[in-house]
Amino acid sequence: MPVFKRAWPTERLIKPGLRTRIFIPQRPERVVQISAGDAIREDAITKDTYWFTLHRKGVRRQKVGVDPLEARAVPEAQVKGYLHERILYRFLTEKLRLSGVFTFQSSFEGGRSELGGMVADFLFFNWKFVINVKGPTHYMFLQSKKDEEQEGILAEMGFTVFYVDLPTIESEYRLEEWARRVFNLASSRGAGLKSDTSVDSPDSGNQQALIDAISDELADVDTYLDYVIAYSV
Amino acid sequence: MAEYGGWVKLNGKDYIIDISSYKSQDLVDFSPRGTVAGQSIIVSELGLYQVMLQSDWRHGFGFQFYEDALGYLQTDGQVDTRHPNIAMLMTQPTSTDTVAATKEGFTVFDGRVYSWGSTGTSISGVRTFANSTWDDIGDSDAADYGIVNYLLPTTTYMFVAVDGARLQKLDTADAATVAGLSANSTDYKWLIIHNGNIYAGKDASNIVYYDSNTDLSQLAGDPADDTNEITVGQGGYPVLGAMSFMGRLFVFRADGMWEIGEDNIARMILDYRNEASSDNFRSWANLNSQIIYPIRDKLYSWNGVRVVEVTPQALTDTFPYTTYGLFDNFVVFQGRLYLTARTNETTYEEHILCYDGVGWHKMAEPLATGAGSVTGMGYDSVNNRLWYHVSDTENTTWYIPFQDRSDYPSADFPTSGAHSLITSRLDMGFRRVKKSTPSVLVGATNLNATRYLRLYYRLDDASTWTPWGGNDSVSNIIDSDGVTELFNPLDESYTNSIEYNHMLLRTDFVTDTAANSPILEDLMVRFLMRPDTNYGHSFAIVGAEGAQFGTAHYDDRTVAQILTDLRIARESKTPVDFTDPFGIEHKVYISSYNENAIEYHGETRGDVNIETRILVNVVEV
Repeated sequence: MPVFKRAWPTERLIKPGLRTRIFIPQRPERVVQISAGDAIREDAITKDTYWFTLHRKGVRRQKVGVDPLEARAVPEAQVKGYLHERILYRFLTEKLRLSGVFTFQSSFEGGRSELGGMVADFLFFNWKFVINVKGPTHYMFLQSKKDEEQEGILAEMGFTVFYVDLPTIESEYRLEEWARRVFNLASSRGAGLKSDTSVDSPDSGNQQALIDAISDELADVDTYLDYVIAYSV
Repeated sequence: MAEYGGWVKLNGKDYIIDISSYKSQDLVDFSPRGTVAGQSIIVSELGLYQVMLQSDWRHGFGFQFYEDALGYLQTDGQVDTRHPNIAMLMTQPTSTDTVAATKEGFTVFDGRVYSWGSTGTSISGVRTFANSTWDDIGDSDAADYGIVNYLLPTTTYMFVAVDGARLQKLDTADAATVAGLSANSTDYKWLIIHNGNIYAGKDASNIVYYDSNTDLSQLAGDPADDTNEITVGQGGYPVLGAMSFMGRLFVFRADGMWEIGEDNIARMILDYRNEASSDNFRSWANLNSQIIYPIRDKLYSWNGVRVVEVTPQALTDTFPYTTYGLFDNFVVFQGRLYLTARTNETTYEEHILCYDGVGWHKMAEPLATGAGSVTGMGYDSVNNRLWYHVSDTENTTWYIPFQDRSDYPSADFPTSGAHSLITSRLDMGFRRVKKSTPSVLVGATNLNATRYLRLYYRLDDASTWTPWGGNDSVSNIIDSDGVTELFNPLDESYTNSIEYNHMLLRTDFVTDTAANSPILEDLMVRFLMRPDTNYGHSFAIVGAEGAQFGTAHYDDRTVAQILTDLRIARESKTPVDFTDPFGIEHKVYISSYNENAIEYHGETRGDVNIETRILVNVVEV
């Protein structure tokens, strides 16, 4: 029989002293993953005419090079982590010459024992700040609240947390601007992003109030569902 | 005359083939995608040609290959690449003082710029820039100062460390009086404010004195006057200067960096004893809470925890590589470090470089003749200028103005000389694959008929630059705003392309008006990857004893011998010779081998005779 409680008042939880931490419920069962590629008959869908090869996507051009994002990342054999974490790792060490100034632990490794289990992807211990790569799950309600909670706890420990999202890492220009601001490096005023492929939708700003309202409604529903999942396992 | 069509030659032996089975096919893809910087996709044509884009140069010079989306190889002249998404001309220096005396440093006191240094005929060791001219400052005897080692400004006084003579102070009316405790208060090399005191190091000595009086009336200069002097290490290395960093006092000697603690004991922090040199710690600066300093011809950054090398990369991509050394005259302002550096060429040049914590940028080329040096540099926060002094065949003081309320260069651009931006080697991620380029696109603004960009290219190991579009001095000019496509790289008369493994592009910046600079926004190269083509051949060999094609080709081997010969060819670790049915010779490997029995014919010459059809695939190498 599930036990229902009121939604967590998270803003009250980010306080020193005895408290209950946000629990991120795990899936009770792992989904069996089948690679979709295995079920596709390539020969049936990419059949070319015998005399000429033409697709609406253009002339067939094999992708034999390195993924542009992977080309910017430190190899996984060298640093264990997600792609975007490894891009940032290489940027910090090669461009900003910060090797040895920070320690890195991928978020998939759990948390840092020296910080009581806190997740800190890039920990600049002497500079008292943390950089966390904000992956897609961090925009879900419960995870975003968990981030707020961890940010508060790290703040109590004297650390400032900077978040960097995936589109920022994917764009050389956005990452450059973000890094120059975080690390207090010289940057011109009004830095442009005209070459950036990851700009927001032009009309998204006009709908922000509506998005906020819907988000608030969904947040309540999400919290309720989290409880249901958490206590029904 | 050889007879072709029904036979091939493989590994030195002829084989009869079923001619209708012969096929030949290209094995290499027509044009695989090159690997270019991630943002290049936004200028894709979604057509045959791939486009490589560069629209930011903030990671500076020294990138031999285009592996950094924001890097390039080098600039010549004065090109400013510090700002996002543009490259433009840098402000030209202005000459102000040509008296025969060397300035060693600059500082600001009471809203005026002062310099210190050596003397000339009737030239003081202290000069000031007021009312648009440089004037001598007299000493306490109303005579010209001799050589001055250092100036330390405070709000009330500016202290003058005269070489070999008594410390003096200037008030805000430039009236000089002696300072220090006694006649022994002489020959200081440097002074610094720290921890409620002013510390002063004696010239060519490792002894440091300090005083907490605002007018330095108790600053001693000899142990006889003050037994609290601080001795920085031993070994005869004088203290070159000091820096107050993160609340701690550090002093520099040729053998390392030392810290003078609260207990007035100096301890070595960074040890360079095995590299002790007069080139060490020629200058130093605090950039973004990191001390940047030179050890011989390398630059290091120390953040209080870890030392990191930050030496600029090489300027050129061919032997002998041009590199920088002799880093000197460090100045930090507006979040950037400016310094002078000398090239390793016989006819050396000295340049003013800028380091923003990520990339190195060349700002100016004060010396290019292999003689002289830049002796001093300083920032003037009153007039917003970077002052520097060049001493070669004559002494000249220059300044580069900076723009108020803007990071972009002040609008006084050079109207003569060569000013160029040279890209890295554009290899599209595949250095050994040929690329074909029919045109480039240049995005630029603020252009007109007399203020324009010119484009040149250099292919592979060539040493000369070729104007894009021939030598007509017209085709390679971009003089209208927006995106300009330059076709016909070889000449202006017909459509053509250039082929290369890697290409460098050089963009020249030209203006006839000092108030305006052409602005380069984008460089886009259209290209196709064109790998070398290899072919594969497929055919069926007739494995039959006594098979004959025409009159010239008769195979009297047994089937077993034919199969054995083919298996040996299949096994070969080196490429084997192959002559196709058209009589064309190739080097190949047998990539696929398939025997199919057709009919049993008993035994012949001791071998089982089974007529066989052998499918063979060979690939050219």
